[in-house]
Amino acid sequence: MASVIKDERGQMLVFFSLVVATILAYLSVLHAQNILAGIESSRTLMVFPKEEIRNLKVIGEKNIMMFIDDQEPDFMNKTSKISDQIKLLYARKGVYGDVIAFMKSGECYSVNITYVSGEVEYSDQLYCCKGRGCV
Amino acid sequence: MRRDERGVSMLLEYLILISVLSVFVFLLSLNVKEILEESQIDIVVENQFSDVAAEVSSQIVDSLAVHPKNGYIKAKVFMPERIGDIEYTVSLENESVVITSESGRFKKALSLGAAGILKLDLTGQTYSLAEKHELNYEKITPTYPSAVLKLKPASVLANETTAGCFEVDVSKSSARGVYNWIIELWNGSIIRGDSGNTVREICVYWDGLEFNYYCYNESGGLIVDTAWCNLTLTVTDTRGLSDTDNATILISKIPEVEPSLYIKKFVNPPQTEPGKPVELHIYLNGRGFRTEGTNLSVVTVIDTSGSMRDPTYYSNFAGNVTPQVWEVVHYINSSWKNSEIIVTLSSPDSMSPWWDGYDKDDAFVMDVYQADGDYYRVIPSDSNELESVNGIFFYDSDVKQQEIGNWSFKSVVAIPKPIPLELKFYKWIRYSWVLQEKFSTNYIPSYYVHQIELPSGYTANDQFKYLDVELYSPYRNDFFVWLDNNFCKNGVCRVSDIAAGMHNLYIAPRLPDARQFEGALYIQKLDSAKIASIDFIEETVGEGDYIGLVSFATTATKHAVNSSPFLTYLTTDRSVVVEKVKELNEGGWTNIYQALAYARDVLLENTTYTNGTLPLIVFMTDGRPTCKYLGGDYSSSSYSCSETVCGDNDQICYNQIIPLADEIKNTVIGENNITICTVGFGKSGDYNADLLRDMASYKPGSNEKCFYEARNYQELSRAFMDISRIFRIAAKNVTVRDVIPDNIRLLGAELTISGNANCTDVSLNEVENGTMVSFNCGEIYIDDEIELIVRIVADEPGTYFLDIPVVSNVTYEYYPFGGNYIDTVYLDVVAVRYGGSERATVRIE
Repeated sequence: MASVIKDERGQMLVFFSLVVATILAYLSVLHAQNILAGIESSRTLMVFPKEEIRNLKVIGEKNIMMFIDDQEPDFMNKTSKISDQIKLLYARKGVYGDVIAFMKSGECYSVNITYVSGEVEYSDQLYCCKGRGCV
Repeated sequence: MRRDERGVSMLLEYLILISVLSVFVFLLSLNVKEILEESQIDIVVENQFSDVAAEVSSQIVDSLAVHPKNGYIKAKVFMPERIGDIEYTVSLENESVVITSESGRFKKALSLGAAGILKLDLTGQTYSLAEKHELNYEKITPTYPSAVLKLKPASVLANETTAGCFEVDVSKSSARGVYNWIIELWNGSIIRGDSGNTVREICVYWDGLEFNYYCYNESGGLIVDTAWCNLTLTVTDTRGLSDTDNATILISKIPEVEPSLYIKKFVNPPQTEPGKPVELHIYLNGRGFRTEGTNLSVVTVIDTSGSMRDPTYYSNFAGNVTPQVWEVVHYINSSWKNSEIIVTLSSPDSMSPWWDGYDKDDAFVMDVYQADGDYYRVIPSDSNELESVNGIFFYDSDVKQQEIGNWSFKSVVAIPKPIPLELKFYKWIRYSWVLQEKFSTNYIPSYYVHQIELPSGYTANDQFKYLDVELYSPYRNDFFVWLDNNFCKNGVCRVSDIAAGMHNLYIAPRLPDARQFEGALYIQKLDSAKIASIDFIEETVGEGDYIGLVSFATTATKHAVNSSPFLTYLTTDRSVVVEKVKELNEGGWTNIYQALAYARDVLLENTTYTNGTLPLIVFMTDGRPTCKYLGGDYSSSSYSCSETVCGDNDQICYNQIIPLADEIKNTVIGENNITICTVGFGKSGDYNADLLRDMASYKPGSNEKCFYEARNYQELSRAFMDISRIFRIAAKNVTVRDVIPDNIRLLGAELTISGNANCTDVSLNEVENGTMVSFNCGEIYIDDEIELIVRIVADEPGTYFLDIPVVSNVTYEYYPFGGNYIDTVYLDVVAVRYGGSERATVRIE
């Protein structure tokens, strides 16, 4: 019992140090979470591929329209080549992008626009007519 | 005593102190959780929930930025599994992103104000511990395909050896984007196509077994000679959505099918967005073969008098040509001062064959602009044409000081082929002209080629008597004209005995400022009568019909067309009559009386054959009567012909002809009176319109005389075609009424008529429930197509029914005509759906 009495002050110090350390650690975790707030929304704003998709839409709506006066075989041939080039270009960015006109009737055509990355998948089917735009 | 200073033992003191401290620490820890932990978690949750909500919101806004019109975007959403050691749920609801902690203690909502305005359907939720989180934006335009099947014609004659053909027309079908279509025939056969190929011809032979199995008889019972067979159209769009429509084709072996009216109403497209117009169609089609379900006996009477050799208008030509001007600018320097100068424009080309036999110098025209501003046009004349070569020249006796400088020469050569041209400058030096300068070019002229088709199969040896070309006088100075290789001097020429087929009219500008031209083409009146009458025979005379021919000039001729001992002047072989028509020649007076008498004789030659047929005389003349009947047996010696024999206003001949015509019209063959239709051909006054009108019968079921006036070839053909249709009336006194409801705006209405139906313009009248659109057709003929197209638009989403019950209808008089048979067909209920309120769906999951 005497030995216990001799060590009592040291034990208290150790005990209180543990309590304080635990509190500080807990608070630091919370603080860290506060610091992280805002990161997800910022990241989303930065990574969403708006321009890449817009580029595909412009090709599908306007660039392909330039071939609308061609006969169907020529039209399909040209648009198919464009599709191949787009796929290659987008593959270099590590994503899949494609604009493929799959049917032509008179001055109208149907086109599929596709974009697939690790985070975003986009698919649209447009019906475009000369002088009337796309719906 | 000192030992008693301690109230408690060391052990107890220790225990007490520990207890007090423990309570203190316990109380302190409670306070710390409240003050430090909870308050900190509140802050963390507030911030992190806002972050996650902002992330979802950003994804939605980004999706809107590239919104697919008819597709989807799937975007991954990243979020921590726990925030402040709390699990939570993210959901989309009430135009907000809502994050709720598991216990419900914490809840954060971030409003999507803009998204609300854009009317997004927000839905779905995801749990923070889920393996992945995804935002799915999807918009599908709800336009469904619409199938519309038309048959042209809606009835065909067919037997076991001769096919009846009709067109299936699916062009009025609609879909979002390109579509495929399939038509299933009554027997299960399939015809396929797509929206780029919407018309297909189907030919069918009579097959009683097949028709009895797959088709039906409108009057019930076994199919003997007339079948009604269904066709089903299915239109499928690229998304797999489809629609169907049906139509019935009438297939018959015999023409004895009562005519009827086929009525169809549809809206195109049936779905659209607010503000976009759609078309409401009401389509009428005359169906059947012939009004009177019997064969015809037709006698065509053709005037071959001398005036039939005159020309009649055939077609016109007009256009614009900008001349090819060869311009040379040459500097006339001071060495030319006080000198004589000649500038020649010439070509070493033979200019053959275009100018063969004509003065080739006439092809050249040159405008000269001197340095002092003087201008001269060199037009070929005896004084400025070159002698040794083809061309013209400009002469100036003395080049003045002020003329030193640039001279401009603009040259045009009228010829429809490229030729070499030379421009040479000569100076008078010591009693001779010495060449000083020379310019050359390969001149490629501009000219216009107008193609003319003279139809084959209408004249003997396919030769037309002539083709006249007339360039109208205001343009004759500006242009030269060639018909094939024949030069039309002064813009007018005639090419005789010209072959049927394609011919080229070349119009070449002569002057540098020539631009427009206009002219006309003419053929012989008898040639045009041959075309019109042969077309009439081909169009009107069908299998089992009899046809005969009477031609007349000073005397009339009944043409023998049948080798049968019992019937000479009528035949069912129309090709024999066609050949007779081709051989006709013009010349002589105009013996209308004998021609009419002979036409009657032809019909009455042997009524055993013609009994039961509809007898018809089609009488065409281009002149007034010039032969008087003297009495007797109607043979050629029974007439006196001269310019004046018929007296003032043809009264003498009129008094003879009209009683004969009345007698003929009262003549009955079988149960049918003879019908006379008359055609006056030529300028008004050339023929006696009153005489011809009085000769004519009334059209069947009408109080209108079967009399036509034709000023030219086109009108003559039209007149004959009209006559061919008087027995082809499908419906009479047709009235179409429809009402456009008040909640739809009416943008306009138009009526298209294909055929000979005579209809009024579309009228629009305000009525109780909206605007009534209506029109009337006095007669609709078999195979006529009448289509009312009303353009309408609605501004608000919803479904609009385009009918007012009972009021929207078609009333018409149906066969047999006479006013006793009136039918009312209530139009189909059609609706147009204005979508547009369809929202894009945004789902989190």
